[in-house]
Amino acid sequence: MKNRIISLFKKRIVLLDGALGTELHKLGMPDGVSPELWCLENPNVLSDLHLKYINSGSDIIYTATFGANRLKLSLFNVKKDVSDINKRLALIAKEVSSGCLVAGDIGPLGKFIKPFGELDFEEAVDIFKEQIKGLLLGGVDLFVIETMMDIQEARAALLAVKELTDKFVITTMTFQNYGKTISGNDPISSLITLQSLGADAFGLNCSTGPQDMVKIIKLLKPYSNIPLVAKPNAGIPTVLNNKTTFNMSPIRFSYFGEKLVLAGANFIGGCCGTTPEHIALLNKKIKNLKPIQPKNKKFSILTSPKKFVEFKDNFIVIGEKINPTNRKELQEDLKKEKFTTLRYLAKEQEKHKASLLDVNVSFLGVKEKELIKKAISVLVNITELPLVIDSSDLNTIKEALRFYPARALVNSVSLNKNTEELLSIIKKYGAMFIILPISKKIPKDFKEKKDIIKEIIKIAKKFGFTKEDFIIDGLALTISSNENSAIEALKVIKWANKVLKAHTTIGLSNISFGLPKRDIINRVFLGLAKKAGLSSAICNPKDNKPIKNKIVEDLLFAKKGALEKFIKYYSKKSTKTKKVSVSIEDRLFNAILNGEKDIIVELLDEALLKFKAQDILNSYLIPAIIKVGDLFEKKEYFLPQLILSAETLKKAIEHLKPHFEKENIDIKKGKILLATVEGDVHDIGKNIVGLLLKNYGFEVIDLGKDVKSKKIISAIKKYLPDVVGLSALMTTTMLNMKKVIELSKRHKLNPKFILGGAVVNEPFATSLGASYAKDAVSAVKAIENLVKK
Amino acid sequence: MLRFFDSIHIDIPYQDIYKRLGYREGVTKIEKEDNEFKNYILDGLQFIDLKAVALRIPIKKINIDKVYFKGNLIIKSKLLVSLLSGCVEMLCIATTSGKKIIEEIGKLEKKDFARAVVYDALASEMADFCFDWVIGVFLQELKRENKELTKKRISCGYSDFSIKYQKKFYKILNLKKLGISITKDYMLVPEKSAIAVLGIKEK
Repeated sequence: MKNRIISLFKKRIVLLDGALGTELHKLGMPDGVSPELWCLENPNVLSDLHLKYINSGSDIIYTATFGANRLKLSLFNVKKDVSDINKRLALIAKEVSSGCLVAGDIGPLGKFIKPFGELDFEEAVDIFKEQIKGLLLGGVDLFVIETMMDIQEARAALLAVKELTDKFVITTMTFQNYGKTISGNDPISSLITLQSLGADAFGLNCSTGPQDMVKIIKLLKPYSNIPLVAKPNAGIPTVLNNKTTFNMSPIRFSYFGEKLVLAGANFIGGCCGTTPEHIALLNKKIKNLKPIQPKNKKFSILTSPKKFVEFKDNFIVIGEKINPTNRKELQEDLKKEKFTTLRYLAKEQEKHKASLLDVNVSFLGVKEKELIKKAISVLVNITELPLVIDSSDLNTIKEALRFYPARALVNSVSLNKNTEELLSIIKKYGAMFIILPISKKIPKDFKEKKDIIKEIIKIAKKFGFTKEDFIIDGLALTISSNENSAIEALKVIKWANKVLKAHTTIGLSNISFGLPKRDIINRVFLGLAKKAGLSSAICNPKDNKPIKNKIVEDLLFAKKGALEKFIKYYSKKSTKTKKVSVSIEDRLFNAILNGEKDIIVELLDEALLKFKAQDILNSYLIPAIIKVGDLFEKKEYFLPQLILSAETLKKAIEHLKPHFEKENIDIKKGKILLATVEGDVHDIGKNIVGLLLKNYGFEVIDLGKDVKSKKIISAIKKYLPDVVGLSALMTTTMLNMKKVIELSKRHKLNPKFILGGAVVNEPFATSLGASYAKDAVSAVKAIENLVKK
Repeated sequence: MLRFFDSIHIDIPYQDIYKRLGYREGVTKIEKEDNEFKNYILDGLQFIDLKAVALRIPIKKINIDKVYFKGNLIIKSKLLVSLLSGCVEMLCIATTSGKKIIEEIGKLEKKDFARAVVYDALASEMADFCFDWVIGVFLQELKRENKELTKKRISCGYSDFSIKYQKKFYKILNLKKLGISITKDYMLVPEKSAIAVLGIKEK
């Protein structure tokens, strides 16, 4: 049967059926019922609909089992017979099929699966298996996994099919008009992940009309080794006379059918809103068109649920830092199953432009198999980078590959008694792997490494792997124990690159172990390895910029006396201070302008040798913050820049404070009372105003948030402020501003009020006799004016 | 049936975060793709713990200013009446960016305010986009039931839809399970937690 489907799509476009759900509604299925149970009660309606699609030319019809899984049926009080329901619905389709192929339809479970949801991954696989067994008993010819919103669910369903049968299986996901699934999965990563896992065809259904699908099919075609599927809705739903309709006519739909073929779709049908008429016209339009066959092009692509990384001409940096060896903090965290350090290391490496993250959680006293799944759960939720599963334990790799919701790289396969078993696991889950040239003993030179690599490739080929599926590690060992280590590793890289035309990698930092100035050695070695054709490195992403250095090159090439020369040179080398030519006045001004908090104190100390504190403040710091305010008002600066400058000034004023006291200077311009009114817990806006006011020399008394009106009144009595600033973010709490102002009048207190906050506007403030400020800078200006009055 | 969402995936809405912070395309003079504040956003993500819960409540009857729901819930609001007119159910959604980010903002306000401001914008936008994500999940599922959602969503405190109903939704949605509490003034704590409702219509 599988061969029949293959020969069918090689000859022509395979026509799928159209919508079942929307058509069943038209045929009398009421809302709120289980479509599966309703179909069993009305088998003739379903048979007729199947027949209509067959008569329209469909080569494949889908069983009405979209929601026939344990979870969805339980919503209709079906506790057992799930398998039987699937079998009976498959039989209804089979009875009328007369030569047309019947696909067992598998829809989503309605729950998100770990690591993205609550449902356990193995439980999801079991639920799918229960449905699949029933469909097999009903005699389906192939399977279709459809409308998947999340890659992990698609993987669970695909694995369930593959573990029960070798029948042809189509997997389609549902991408929104912005080109991603609801879960953020992008089409190419999804294709690569599922294609590697053994899907026989991949594509899209539902969510969008055919126009949007044309774009995605075009995008997928260059990466696809399997036929592509498009089952669009009849356009985007529109509302007419209070009723929603899928407005694309059968003629227009069939026009896009042609476009889909030209973009590279091999299986085409219709989803929500399409009818037998849509399919019949589509058939007419596309039946004589020649399909574009999938190219059997090989790729070296790794994926995460949201991103793919291809080994091509680009250099790939594999972040090495998630490894507990010599990282005590990570070890302590992992022991307690805390993942704070792991998160930090992941984000830090991502920030420094790592392309992949190596994940190793192995050390004494932990259950590696369980821990790696937990680490994967954390990582896939915080980073988009594809992961490299780094372990020497076969079961850990197996568990990790089964669970990782994408296509991983395994680090690594070496030559030992487990090589075949490990390769069979990697094959099953469609991963890539690193070949590490190690057997029972460490190879002493290039020749021994080459022999091991060749042997591993020979075994890999038996499993159907090609050179695009693996990456060869040059095996860098420290030059402190073997002075020829760099030379031998470079030879492997050169050979793998030129002769095998395979991708290569290296554990970069191993080369410098035990030596000083490791970063310099690593970076020089990286430059040499890149020259030899290195395509990736497992390294600290901060060390990924190659440099040239004659002394280190001599060391790496084991030149006589190079080590002594290296140690002598680097122990002597001292850092030279740069000569600064910009004046201290300009540097002070710029430090405020650019928010350089870290250097302001140092600059002030230098300036105090030349100027009085008051002159520094009035001549350089205040003009700089005024300039910042101007830039903010013109929108040339945005809020974080304003705050950074304000914080720098705050730090400067704090540092100058003792000098003001010495110079007997009072810089206070006035007293301001600030509060977020009762019932409101938002206060960041008010705090920004407070910070700026302090910068401008005001004394600020901040009462905090959710402050009762009475407390504000007591504070006015106590502090006698020049101005009271009130803040509120909600329409429901801004009325408390009115309460405060009225209460202050009743107590015969007459401070000036200024109001602000997201919902407050000028008319509201004016109606209460208060001033208004739209943002922090205008608040400061308004308060300066109020104090002057 | 309450549906809890513990693992929510949204792309970082950089554009909206920058906009909230006052960034104006073509005017603000900072490299959008490569500046230290973008790193703040990435750092802040580790403190974001997006969670959501949703519930579909069947509508029994709607009159001029009240909506009667299954389970004896009655809400008096002309705004809600207008939103739910023609609907068969109401979809209630609550989202939160979690407690950790708010605690972190609190700590940072004293030592690194610029970072605190960026985290605040990140938390606000993530919580907002979280609504869109949950709505996306329901849109996908409702299509199969031949139903759809109203384009608009509203929250307690809008117009005559009293803030007091927030307490009722708090209980119905079991927001305690999401780590959210409610003040006597009906504010959800931690900040960046919100409730909104939409209507479900038959197509």
